[in-house]
Amino acid sequence: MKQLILSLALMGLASTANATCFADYKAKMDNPLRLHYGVIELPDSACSVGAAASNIAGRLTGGWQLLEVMSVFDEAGLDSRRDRAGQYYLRF
Amino acid sequence: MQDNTTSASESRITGTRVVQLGIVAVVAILAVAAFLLFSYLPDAGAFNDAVEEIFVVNDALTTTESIRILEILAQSGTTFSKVLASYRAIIFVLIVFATALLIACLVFLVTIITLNRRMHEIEKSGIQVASLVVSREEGVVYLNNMEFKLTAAAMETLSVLAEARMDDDVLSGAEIESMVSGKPASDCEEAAGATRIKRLRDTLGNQMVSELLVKNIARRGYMLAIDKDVIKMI
Repeated sequence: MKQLILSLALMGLASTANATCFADYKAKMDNPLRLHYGVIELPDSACSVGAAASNIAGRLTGGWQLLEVMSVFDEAGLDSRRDRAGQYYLRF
Repeated sequence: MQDNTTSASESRITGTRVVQLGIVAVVAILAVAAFLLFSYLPDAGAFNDAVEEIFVVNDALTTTESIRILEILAQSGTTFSKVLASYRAIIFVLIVFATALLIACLVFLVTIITLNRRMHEIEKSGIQVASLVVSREEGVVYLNNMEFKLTAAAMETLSVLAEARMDDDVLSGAEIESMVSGKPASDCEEAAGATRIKRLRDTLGNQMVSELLVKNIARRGYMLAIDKDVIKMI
């Protein structure tokens, strides 16, 4: 029963449910300067701070430029970052 | 070897060269100053870069509110950078003004120096006649505001010479005599005209020297009417 609830909760996270690798990053947009902090899902092949940078930079759209990848973490770290990322939580 | 004489035209040529060099120097100095001013002014993106750096360095500033505050900071910086751009324009205009004023000052300075030299040379060259007024009724001639009394005959001679000068004519002694006496020139002798010239020179020269050099002080005697510093005995 407990496992069922957990899996339902994970399914609530849509397609990310199966991923085990996430990163949080900082990005900016120029003229006027806009900033955001976001959380993004990573494929297993790019699951490190160094490898994530090029992956994330390629996926950011709408004029956003990647400033910094802060850390790479698994599902356990998602909840604590959800509020801070706000609308950029798993957006790209 | 350099000539030990100078002339007014020579000093004018050196003056022109000084002006040219000076203008080039002034423009060069102010161009360098303008370049330094512009290169040291922060560019419009400086505030955005600073805010961006704050955002990257501080991991605590990742909440939505603090990011909003950082964005507002950057926007106020962008507004201020527009003010800086107008300062830049003002500085540029001021530099152009400064250049123009310095060039004008230089030109005036060199003009003053040149004029001073020419004045000095004119002072040394002796009496410069700036005006000659002949008043026939009063029998008086004014040379540079110095008044000289002439006899009727000397006045006639001077008038004839003055009229000839105005027509750019040169008169012989016989012609002078004929114009003063009214007889045809063929009947007049050269010596008569020469005598008239001699009398005119004597009376005018005598008065001029007594006015300029050898003064007569009534009931006391005579003295030189010059500054004692300019006298040199060799």
